[in-house]
Amino acid sequence: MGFATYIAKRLVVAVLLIFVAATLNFAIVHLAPGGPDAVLLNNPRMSPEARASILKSFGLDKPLYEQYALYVIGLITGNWGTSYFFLTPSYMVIAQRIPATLALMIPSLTLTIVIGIGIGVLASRKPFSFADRFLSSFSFFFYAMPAFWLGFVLLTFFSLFLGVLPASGMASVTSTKFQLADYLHHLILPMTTLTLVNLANFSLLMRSSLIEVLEQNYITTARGKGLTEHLIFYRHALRNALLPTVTMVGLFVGFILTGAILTETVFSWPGLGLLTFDSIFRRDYPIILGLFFMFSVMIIFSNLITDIIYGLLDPRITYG
Amino acid sequence: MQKGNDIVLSVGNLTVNFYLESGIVSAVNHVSFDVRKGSSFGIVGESGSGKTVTALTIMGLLPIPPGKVDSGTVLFNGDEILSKTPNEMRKIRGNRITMIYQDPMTSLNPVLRVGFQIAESLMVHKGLSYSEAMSKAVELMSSTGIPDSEKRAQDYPHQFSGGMRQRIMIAMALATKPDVLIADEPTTALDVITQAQILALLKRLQSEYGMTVILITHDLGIVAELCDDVLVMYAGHAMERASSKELYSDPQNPYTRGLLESITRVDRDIKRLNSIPGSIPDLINPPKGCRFHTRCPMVFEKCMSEVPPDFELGPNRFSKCWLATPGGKTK
Amino acid sequence: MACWTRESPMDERKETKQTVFSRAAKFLKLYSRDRSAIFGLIFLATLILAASFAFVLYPVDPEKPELASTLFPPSVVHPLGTDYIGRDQLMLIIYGARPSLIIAFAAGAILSLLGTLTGLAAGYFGGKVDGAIMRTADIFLTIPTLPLVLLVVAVLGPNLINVMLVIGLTGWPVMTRIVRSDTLSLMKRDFIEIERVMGAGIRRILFKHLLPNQLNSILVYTSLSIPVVILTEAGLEFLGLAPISVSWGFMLNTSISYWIIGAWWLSFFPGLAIFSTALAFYFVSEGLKAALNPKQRRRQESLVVQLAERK
Repeated sequence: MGFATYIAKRLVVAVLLIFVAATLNFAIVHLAPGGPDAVLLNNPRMSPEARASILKSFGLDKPLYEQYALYVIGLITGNWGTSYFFLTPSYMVIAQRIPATLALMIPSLTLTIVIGIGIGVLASRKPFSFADRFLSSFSFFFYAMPAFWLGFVLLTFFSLFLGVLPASGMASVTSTKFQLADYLHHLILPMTTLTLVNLANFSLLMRSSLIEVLEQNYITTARGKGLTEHLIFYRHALRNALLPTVTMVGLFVGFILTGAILTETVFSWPGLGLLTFDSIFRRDYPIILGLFFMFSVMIIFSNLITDIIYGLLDPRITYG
Repeated sequence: MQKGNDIVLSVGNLTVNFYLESGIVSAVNHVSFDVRKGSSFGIVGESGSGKTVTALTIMGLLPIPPGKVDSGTVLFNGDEILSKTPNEMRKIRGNRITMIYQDPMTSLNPVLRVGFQIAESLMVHKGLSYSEAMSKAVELMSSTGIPDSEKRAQDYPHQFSGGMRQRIMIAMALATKPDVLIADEPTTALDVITQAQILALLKRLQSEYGMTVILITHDLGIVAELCDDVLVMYAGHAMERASSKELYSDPQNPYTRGLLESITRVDRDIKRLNSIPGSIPDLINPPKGCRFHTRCPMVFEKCMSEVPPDFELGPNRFSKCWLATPGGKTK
Repeated sequence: MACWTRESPMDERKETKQTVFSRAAKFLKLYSRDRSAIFGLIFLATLILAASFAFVLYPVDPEKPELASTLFPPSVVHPLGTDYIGRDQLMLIIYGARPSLIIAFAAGAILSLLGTLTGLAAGYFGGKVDGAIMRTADIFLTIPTLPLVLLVVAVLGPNLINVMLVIGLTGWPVMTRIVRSDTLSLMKRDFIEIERVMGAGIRRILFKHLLPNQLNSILVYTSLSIPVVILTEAGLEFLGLAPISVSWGFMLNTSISYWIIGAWWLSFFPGLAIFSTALAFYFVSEGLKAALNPKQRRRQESLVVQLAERK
């Protein structure tokens, strides 16, 4: 199929998935024991009048399909309800925190990808090298590692015992505007935590991809041409192995996002993750629901981007 | 088209074993044969006969951890290639000896342009620049019958049919004007019509380039059509070697006879399909003595205990059978 | 001419007279080849024992505060220190093992059951059924589990049963893939074909042939998914979604506020417990894999193929 068809297909799927996420959100709210009132109005300090008016403003007295329609419209127009805690529109509260999470996610993701590809390449190219041994010895280690615990351990060691790195937040308490050095100083520990937890898995997948490619017939053909192992590996094998890696990145965005929720909490990093933690504590349901939707959108969107990039890189799609 | 008696390739007493967890697979056992320069040489056998392993060994493509050459020599123009270093071998492989493979659908790199894949050999072995090599590649594609080759050289493998891809492979193998071209079942994966086209192409190119072609196949018909000399292999043994004419008119090995008898013929009225009873032996525990003895209609005691030598029956002719007497016919 | 094999691998085993004892002995021998698998097993056995006899070891109410001994660092009396309301951490860890283990096994069982059933269905019926199941599985795979579980538990009420159910209900796709591919390859074998031709019903084919031959891989992959269950559940508790006040994850939750004042042991030991338990399950599953499926090809590759095949 042509490239345009491919993209169009992906876009449609993405939009559909977003709908699924929204519907899931809606369904869960209405499935809650005690009905949606229990969720949306779970604030014992609310007076009966306030209760009634909220019910009315959320349209809970209307038939289900109408509620659904209103809900969807609300999502699109940015009306995600009002936070109980902040008493400001949920959407604004959530949107405000996005940059901080991105500031953590993007460096971590980049490191995971770059180092992961490196380790995977080294492990498959030179069996029994350091990379290979690291991978086989440590992949299980990080498979069982809880991200939040690793964060605490690193914090304890570097911040409590050694005192070299800051204990929390994205910037020093005293700073008033963004300073690169300060940001980086605060970034080290959470980023390391987030990266480490995903690195082993990513490297392993990269290595498997390479091994699978190296078993293909066209590699035998390349070898039969008398090319050097170096050329065979980098020009013939790696280029093919990187393709499924692009798809994997999409998957890993999901993992990094999940990890960010836990890591931000440990490091008091002021992003969406910490907001999740706080909102759960405060039972701020509109925010919780909005966050879930936000996460879904972020993941679906990044999958779409990686699919597009894949399409650009794979000649079978560009020149289908 | 000189088919003199110069020997371009000489395989002597080659034994290749695979050392696996489940046992040692004796894939090629004491195989010897000579290939005359400029001829087309067919290696025939069922699956598991060792023909592909022999080809890989000649090319130096044998996967060495499980595989190992336990004895024998392979002389290429008098030069022993089994003792060459990987670097030296790389200069020969893809350059003086090239190979085309069985499945054209998976044998080309899907992310590299076709013209480049052909040009690559020229850049690596002949030191041509990218543009020089690419224009040569376009020429080669034309000569192997791909229309509109200048444009098509920029396309990717998935944009070609199976037959076309095989032509590309052939172009790739011919680029460096090799002395020997090994074709491992080049038409097995293709339909009959394309098969005929590819074989005709190979025949034409062989005479044009004056090169030696080693054709590996299980199809006796192809061998009859294309090959000057034939080697018949079975379960790692080289059973018989003869010129094509000699083999078909007067086979000197019971296995060869069995094979020939099991071909259906259009010119005869055949009431029953003959086949050789039994099945190929397990190569981890091959039969003692002659490996065919379990299925041979003419088996006797000696066959079951001693491996027959390659009895010479004439110039470039032998049969590995106790019933063959030098210079004479089998009883 | 290939022989039709009338027998399934299960029957073949009966034919070679492998008694239960000889199979068990062989299993133990293969399993013990891996030292870490043995350690894992010992660890888990100890943990389960300690957790079951928690009342005997510590015959007190685990939630009762001992305000005289708050926040003591590790010492001889309290080897793992005490928490913010003075409870001994070692006791808390042992009591905390209970919910973790229960959820691990229960959610694992749910996930396994669901995954196996869907995998069998997808492999056996093929066609539209297969397509529908795999598409649903894909959706579940793309949605990261933690946020989804989070949402459901937050809204539906954070209790043990909900957590168990939700983790089980979101984790099945991994199992489905494996069971499906095993089923598909089994379906191609002669003995299934013979059964169909002879008019065997679904029940017979499924329960006499397809399922028994896959029990090994099902067991291995179920135990392999338990570490993930443990981590997800701990994550939930860490975020404050479970009212299970004596649980490892929740201990980590409360430890956040006290870390600043230097009480590192509040977070270190519960986390260590989670890590060790997950690791132990991982080692055990590797041991099971070596003992039950000695010749299986690496499955990691197939994930990459499947990802690529999504195109």
